[in-house]
Amino acid sequence: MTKNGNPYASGSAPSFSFTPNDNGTYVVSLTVTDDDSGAGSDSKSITVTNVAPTATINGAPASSPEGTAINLTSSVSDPGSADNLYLCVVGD
Amino acid sequence: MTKNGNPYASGSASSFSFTPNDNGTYVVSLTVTDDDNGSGNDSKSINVTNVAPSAAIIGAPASSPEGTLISLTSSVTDPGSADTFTYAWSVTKNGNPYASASTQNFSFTPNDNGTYVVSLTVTDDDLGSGSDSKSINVTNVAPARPSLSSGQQC
Repeated sequence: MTKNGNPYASGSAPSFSFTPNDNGTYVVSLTVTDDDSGAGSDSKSITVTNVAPTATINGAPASSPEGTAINLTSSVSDPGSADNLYLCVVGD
Repeated sequence: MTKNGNPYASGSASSFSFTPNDNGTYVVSLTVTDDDNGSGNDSKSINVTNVAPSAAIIGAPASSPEGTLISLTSSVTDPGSADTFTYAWSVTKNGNPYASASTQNFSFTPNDNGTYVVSLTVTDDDLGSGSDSKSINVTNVAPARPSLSSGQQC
């Protein structure tokens, strides 16, 4: 199979699974060959859509005294493991 | 992030630290964007509380002669670097009010021997306050003996 025209995964079993690591156009091709070298094939195109990442701020106290440092960390996740993530801590 | 609705600090690392310089409501917003323009965000509101200043009277002698100026200064510390302060000095002489002032530093001259207690209260603009007091033992000074002129008869 291909992802945006480039080889992505392959298999030789009767069934086949894969997890797209990014959005794009995935084309799955199947060729079945009998022991006499007769062959049949099929292909399907799958449009994989992007999923937005999620962001969480960790370590924020509900209340804190002035003059004391507040240290925060972030947890971000994205089902698209190929995605590059850009963080921004912003005000209004 | 914002402090009372105004931009206060920002960053682009996976962790973020800041030190609030005053009490108020601080809101931290985090946005994560992927390279396909998908984004997610979170925000937290932090209620930052006032911390009262601490005050110290500097320069108070344990003992001092009557009629001599006593000059005092104040030392104030407050973790809220944006805080401003007012000062209230008071002096008692043998338990009775003797002098007062609202300046950062303060001087007074004891007009008699006795026990003088100086008190300082420093209040920040969020009405947190800290105090200090010192007791000064003011001693008597003997009057100057008139010098006798030669030939003067008693």
